[in-house]
Amino acid sequence: MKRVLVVEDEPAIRDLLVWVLQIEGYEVSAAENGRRAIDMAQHDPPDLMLLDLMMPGMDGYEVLQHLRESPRLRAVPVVVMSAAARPESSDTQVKAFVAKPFDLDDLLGIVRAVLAEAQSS
Amino acid sequence: MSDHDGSIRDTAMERLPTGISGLDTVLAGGLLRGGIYLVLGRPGTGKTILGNHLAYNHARAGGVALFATILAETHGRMLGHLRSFGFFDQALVARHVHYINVFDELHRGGLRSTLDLFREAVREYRATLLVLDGVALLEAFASSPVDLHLFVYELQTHLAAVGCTAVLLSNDVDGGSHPLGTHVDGIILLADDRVQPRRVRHLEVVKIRGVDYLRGEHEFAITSEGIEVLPRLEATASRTPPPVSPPDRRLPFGIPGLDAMLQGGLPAGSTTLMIGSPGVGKTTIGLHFIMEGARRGERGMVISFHEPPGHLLRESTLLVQAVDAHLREQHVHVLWQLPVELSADAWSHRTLAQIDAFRPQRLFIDALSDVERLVHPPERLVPFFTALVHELRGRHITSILAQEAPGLLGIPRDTSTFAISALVENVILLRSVELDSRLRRLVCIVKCSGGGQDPAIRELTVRHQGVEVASPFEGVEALLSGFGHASRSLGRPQRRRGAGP
Repeated sequence: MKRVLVVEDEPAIRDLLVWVLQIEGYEVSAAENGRRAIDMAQHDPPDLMLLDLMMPGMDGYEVLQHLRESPRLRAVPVVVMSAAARPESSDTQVKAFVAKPFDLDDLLGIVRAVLAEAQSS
Repeated sequence: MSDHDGSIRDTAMERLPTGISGLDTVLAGGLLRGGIYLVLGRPGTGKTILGNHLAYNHARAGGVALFATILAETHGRMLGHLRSFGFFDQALVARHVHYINVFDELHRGGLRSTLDLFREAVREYRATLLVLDGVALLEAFASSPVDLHLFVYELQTHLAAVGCTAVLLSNDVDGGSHPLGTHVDGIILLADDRVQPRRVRHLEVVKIRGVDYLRGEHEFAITSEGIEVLPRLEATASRTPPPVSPPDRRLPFGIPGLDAMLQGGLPAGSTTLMIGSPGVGKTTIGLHFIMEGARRGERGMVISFHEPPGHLLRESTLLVQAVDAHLREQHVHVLWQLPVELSADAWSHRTLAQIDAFRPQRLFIDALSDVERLVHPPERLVPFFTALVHELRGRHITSILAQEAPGLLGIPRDTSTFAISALVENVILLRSVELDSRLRRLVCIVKCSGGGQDPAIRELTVRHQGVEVASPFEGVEALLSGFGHASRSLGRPQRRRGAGP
């Protein structure tokens, strides 16, 4: 069973993503901020990280930097989410961008596709 | 970033038309897809009917509606009542309109469990509209005030993500405010008010995010078709200037003397107030105008309150029979409505719809005083008639509005007549006058667009075969007071027969 780590500060969205990903058959864990996300990922690297970019304290960009610098985590595929405009990035660890407000079906499709791509490579 | 990027959903702008007559006009297009709305109203104001009407219209438009109840009537009873409405369609039940009762889940597991139930049900049915009837009961199961707010917040987040619009129905009315008011995208208030001695239903949008909705109260009715909203005429009247008619185009009455007073007839596209006491001839003159139009191939419409079509045309037999029957049938339409248990908005909606269907060039309303009695509160009188006159002008209709003047003799002094006179281009005054111990009729043109009208006061004679306007009264004065007398300088009054100035 694929493991997905949801990193999202807004409780309702975090709760929704956990619920829908579990129904889809994923093993889901959730972090409410960037610091907690790094700690959880270091302890148990996920198959995919769903990462909100705009969070208080350590934001999504800082999380990405930590992932890049960690030999254990630099291969974890990341799908970023943001209400802001799609950021310009050459970070190859980021596999997709989801704009908020997102469509759940769209998001689930992206998760499936990214996991499939990661598995095949 | 990769090819997997998600599309940007502009859900904030996507509108969901309700399909309910008049409601989308008030909402400036409908609800926002994925939004959450509160409908407040005391029991009996029509919330459940509105919720169901929304659900069935949504299903007919290709969506899936989920109607959730808590402790209202059973679904069987509800469906039994709904079968009498035109919006109901048995074929949609359990296919595109689904009913669930959430009381057990709420009672057993509280709000948290009920939220999960909604998430699963919306997902299972792929619902795009959720109607929840009985929101006030949710509060009873909340362990703290924050719980209900959190429930709505989480529900809203989920529904927005799946593109499902929610409408929550609640009895909890406090002048349009509600504890959940800050969370929801819109609040619609339903009321059933006493307007002595009738009861009138009103709908008011208290809040809608991001939309320039029609503010204020709007009447609505529950008919055999379901909900029908009648937005206030003043709120919906076009804001564009009416078209300008060629200045020399005139529409005659077919009454030579009167047409001569008006330099050939009424200016095209203008509105005329024809003021007259009871029995002075307003209806006959109005019919002359319409029949003359029919003779010329122009469509004419009569809006009547007291005389049904058969009576109206029978009273003017010779006048009517002068017009070929075929022409009459093609070019004359009589819209009759009994002026009881009727509101100004219901009247104006029906009338303008009929006008748009028939597209008359000439219009005669008999009488404006009947419409006045429908306008409530009285403060609406001038704005309502301003909007009505503007709508008629915008349709380029040459209109005559008959206005009954109180009293048989003298100058009408009621304020409403003065107020309405200011809104129209032309005013024709018809009065009775006592002269030589006889009651005679007179006509004068008080004002006419473009000026140049005959200033004389002339005698008006109404016969079965029609109306005649004679030469001006000579040697008499004070006719408009109702009690004419010989001019002091000229002795006894003289009157010459014959038409023309």
